[in-house]
Amino acid sequence: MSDAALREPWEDLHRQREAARLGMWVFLATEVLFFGGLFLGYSAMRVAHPAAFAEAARETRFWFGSANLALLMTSSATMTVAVRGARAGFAGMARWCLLMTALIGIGFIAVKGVEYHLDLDDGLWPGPGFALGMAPGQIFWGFYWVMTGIHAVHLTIGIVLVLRLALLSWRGLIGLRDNPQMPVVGLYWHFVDIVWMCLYPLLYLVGRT
Amino acid sequence: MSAEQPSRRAIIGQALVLWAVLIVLLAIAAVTAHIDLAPFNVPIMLVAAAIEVALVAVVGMELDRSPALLRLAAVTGVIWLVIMFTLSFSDFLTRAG
Repeated sequence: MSDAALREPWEDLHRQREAARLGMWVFLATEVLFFGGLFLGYSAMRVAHPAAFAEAARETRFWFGSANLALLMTSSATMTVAVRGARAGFAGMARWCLLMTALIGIGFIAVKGVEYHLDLDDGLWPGPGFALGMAPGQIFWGFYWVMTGIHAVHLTIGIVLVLRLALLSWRGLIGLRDNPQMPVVGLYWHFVDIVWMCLYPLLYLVGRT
Repeated sequence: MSAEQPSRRAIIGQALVLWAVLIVLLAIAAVTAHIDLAPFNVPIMLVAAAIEVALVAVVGMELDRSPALLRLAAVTGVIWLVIMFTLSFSDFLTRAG
């Protein structure tokens, strides 16, 4: 079964795994710069309008953002168990941890959905009728929607990838032990968690004092 | 290529330690953000985030046991990011007052 995962041009799964991990790391480096551009824009605007940014950031929902960070930290732990468990041959444990990881991801999206709903009710969408009035506040909320929105898209892709691995493994269609997809999906998931770790202080903690 | 075969217990134990440290860092950042610590509020929350990121990269993403090639690929994104930020803020950082 493990040979089913072997692809051209690799001679064995170990080399294929290493190549796949390298490919994912290179992709993640481009992702760092993709999100980096947004973080740079946020930082430049914050330096230009520190007081307005602090005031606008006070309107984000601290408990929602914190709960979601705790959720993603938990999913990082379950994903770590999944990847290491699969490699050590504990297929059942790996499958259950993949499922837990995906469910936690879905929980994050659910919390975010409620939060978005409340934000919209409060008129925090930039443009006509924006609740806070001031222009720099609209810029902060513009970054909020774009950054959290792009993060949510990434997380949704991650949920699909993780569920796919779990289901294929449950149906006996793939093995997880030597499968290069396992560490690659793990790397992607951890990266999406890392992005939220960086977003959390900038969007939810600034201006709380 | 599996040099050592960890037990279930060891795998879960390591993940629990990672989780606990991450949650403590979240708590430190969340609590201090509500206390007025004059100029230190932002540095504390950014350092906490940096430690969280490093922990997930090193432990979760297994950079500690990855070949040099992978570590190099992982660091490149960060290096370009640092250059981008440094050049963008060169005027702001070097101007006195």
